[in-house]
Amino acid sequence: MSAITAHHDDHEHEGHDLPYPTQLKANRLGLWLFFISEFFLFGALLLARFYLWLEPGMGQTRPALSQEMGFLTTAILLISSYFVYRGETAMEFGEVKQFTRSFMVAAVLGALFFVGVVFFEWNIFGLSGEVFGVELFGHLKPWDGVYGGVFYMMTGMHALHVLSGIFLILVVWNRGRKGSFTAERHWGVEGTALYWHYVDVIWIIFYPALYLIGTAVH
Amino acid sequence: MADGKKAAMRRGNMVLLILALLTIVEFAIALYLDSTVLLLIMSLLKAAVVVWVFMHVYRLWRGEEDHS
Repeated sequence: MSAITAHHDDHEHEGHDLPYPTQLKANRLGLWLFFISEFFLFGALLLARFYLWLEPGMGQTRPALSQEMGFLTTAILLISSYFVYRGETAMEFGEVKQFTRSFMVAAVLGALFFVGVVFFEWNIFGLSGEVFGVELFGHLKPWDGVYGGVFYMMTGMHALHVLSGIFLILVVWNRGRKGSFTAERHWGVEGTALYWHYVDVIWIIFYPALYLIGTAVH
Repeated sequence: MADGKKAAMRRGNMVLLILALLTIVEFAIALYLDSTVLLLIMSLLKAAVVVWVFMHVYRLWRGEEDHS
């Protein structure tokens, strides 16, 4: 087995004989380069939305989606980002309990966002119903022309990132609970937090593009 | 140390408040002004706040350091 696995223990360690600050700087740069590469994917989807939802004589259009559901899911994701920030800050000061609490809240909120999109907005079970006059379930389907195609590509790609983000948060939460991170060394926590905020940033841009910009078309 | 943490938490609270306000303003713009440019500016503002404060992008051009 390699030297890397031979020296492996439950704590984060210096790999490849690099000093930890050098390794940390390289990790941060690598993750940001990954974000930039991912932005090409999300950027292409965004361009598709602005190109394909442009109707001659009408300008920008959008499918008629539940404004309440869009606002609610956006709020949930923003709050989850806040809890990830709190968790990361707590770990920076060595407060493991607060870190685990905050990351668990963030994971639950992330799951709520996912349920909001898949269960209510996509309406995978074909349900219908309202609360206080607000339609709970979406009607747009992937085969509903360019509206359905673009909407499901954008929300689907984003939901996939949310799902992987929740998985990462839970892995880091579990490792943190077992004492794998310290105030001085917690790249796993920082990297996961960065990833989750990135998923949040993508939604911050997608939300107006999907729900707010243009004339609603029924 | 404790002051540093308090300040960081306060910064987080402030960002959450700013994001909430900007989202409400964004919603109001969509309802009453229907301006694509304004909506894009609002979303870029929100993204910039998250990238700067939550994602600590400035750490990229700092010298080598550990977490402490």
